[in-house]
Amino acid sequence: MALPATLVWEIRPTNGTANAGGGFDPAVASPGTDYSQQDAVQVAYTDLVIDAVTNTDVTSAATPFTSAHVGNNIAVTGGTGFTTGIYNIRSVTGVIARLDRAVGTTSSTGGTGNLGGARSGFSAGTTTLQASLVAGNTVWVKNEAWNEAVSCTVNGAAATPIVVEGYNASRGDAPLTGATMPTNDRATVAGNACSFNATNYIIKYIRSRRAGSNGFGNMQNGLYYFCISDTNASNGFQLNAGTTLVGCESYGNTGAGVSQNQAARCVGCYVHDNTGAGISNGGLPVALFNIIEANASHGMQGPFDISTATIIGNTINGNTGASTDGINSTAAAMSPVALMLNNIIANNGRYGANGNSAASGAPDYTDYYANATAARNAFAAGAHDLALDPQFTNAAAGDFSIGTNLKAAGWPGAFPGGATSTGYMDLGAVQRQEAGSGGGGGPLIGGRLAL
Amino acid sequence: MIEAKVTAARRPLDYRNEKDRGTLQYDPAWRNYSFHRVEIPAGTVVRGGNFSQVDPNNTAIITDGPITLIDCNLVNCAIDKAWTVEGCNTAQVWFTKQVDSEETSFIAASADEIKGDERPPLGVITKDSEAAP
Repeated sequence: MALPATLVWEIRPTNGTANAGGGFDPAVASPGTDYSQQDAVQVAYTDLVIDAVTNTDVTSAATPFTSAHVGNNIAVTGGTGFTTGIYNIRSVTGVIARLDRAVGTTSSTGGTGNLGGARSGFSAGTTTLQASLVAGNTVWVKNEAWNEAVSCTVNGAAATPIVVEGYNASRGDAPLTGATMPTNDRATVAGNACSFNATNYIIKYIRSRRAGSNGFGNMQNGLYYFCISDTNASNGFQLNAGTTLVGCESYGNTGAGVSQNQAARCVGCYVHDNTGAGISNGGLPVALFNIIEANASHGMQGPFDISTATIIGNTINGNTGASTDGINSTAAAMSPVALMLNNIIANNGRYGANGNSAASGAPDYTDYYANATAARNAFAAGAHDLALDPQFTNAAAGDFSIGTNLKAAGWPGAFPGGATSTGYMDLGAVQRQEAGSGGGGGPLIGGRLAL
Repeated sequence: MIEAKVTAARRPLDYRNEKDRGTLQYDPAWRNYSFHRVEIPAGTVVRGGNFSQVDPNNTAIITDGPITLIDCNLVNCAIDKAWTVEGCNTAQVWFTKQVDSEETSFIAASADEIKGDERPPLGVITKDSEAAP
């Protein structure tokens, strides 16, 4: 046995305890009371005894186990003959608790440990939470003062990812602002704030800031969902292959806002005021409906040279520098099957789009406006490109909704074949509000996007 | 309208290269002053500005009195003790060139903590190593 995949962990960075049990399995047979969702540990043991025959069974004379304890974790911290670690109570028979695995040598006495209570971090304790994770686990992080070098290396699995989700006051409240989102504020310490150097994690509503290196680092085949990374001394998000950002904000970082390895995706994000490129990509980029503005290097930087780039519906504006382009892929040509549509590329320091072959890619329906040197350099033009003022409502205040110039100027309009529908796509990331209608859909809460 | 502060056609008079972009006046509507020096009036409260510099211990902020910096990126900036600094990143780093990008490596938590004999590693990017575009 091992810790169960259905285990749910709780981290309270300020009020939790380093060696708390910190978890509860609601899927265990006959679950008891969840003692992980409280600041203090429920029971601090000093007299644990391992059964004389079965080394997964423990007792305590001072605080006998009861059925209420079933499903809770117990963090064993010491005792001769005990193996330190985090265990889960699978059942209680009389006063004997059966754990998920062997806890040491039979008949050992004087074991110490804690049942229940939230843990104070991923890396805290005799045995850490980050080393104890199992594919399928969920980790809730409460919004309390937090400063920790998180380094998760246990892999999730495609069908059973490890989910880390922040909350403000109650689980599932989906905080969207920096003040309400659990914030790992590294206060200028070397290293990444949150490293998920593993595969198949879903990170939701977590903020990283003031790291000596990256805000978020290294995840592969994972998802960042409405996270914030700001004011870090290197990249905001450092992504490995197959990782997706949805609804994230990356700003004020000394490196790139988003540094992607191959096949990473960035959807509906706000990437701004970074020292490096807004989105730096090693190939196969997918960038949909992002606002990429006021970075001190290229809005998007290639090379987009390997296969299909998909860059649709982005607003790439005001990226600053004498050698700064809205989109830069000079190191290699975009693939002939690259797709680039419905973007606004405006007010950038040099070219709107700068490539190395005027015949590559399939860019079209792009508005190039007021880029300092020229709209394009060695970059294919589209038959429906425009050169009109986007008429942003209030870019300085972050409102990139457009005026009449670019409304319904996007593709698709008419569909092929017998379809009689006609679309009216606006250019850029921000679509119009029709008279009498409400705003667009907010963040998807509690569900996983099917991307 | 947000426009680039520096372009191929418009630069400060003291612009040298892309890692030494010259001096700007502080503009509350603009937050990214990476690689610039910035003149900020005394008494100003700056929130969320990015003042990152390419090499350590730079005099990036020019002012004639106390200012307040909140939640700013002050990487590689020298900080006057008369300023109020809250929630800022004061790390000192080296920039190094990679195949497709630049990366930073941490030196110290603030300019005050840099050792006097600190030497740039090979391959480090500095203001002087950059050519004008």
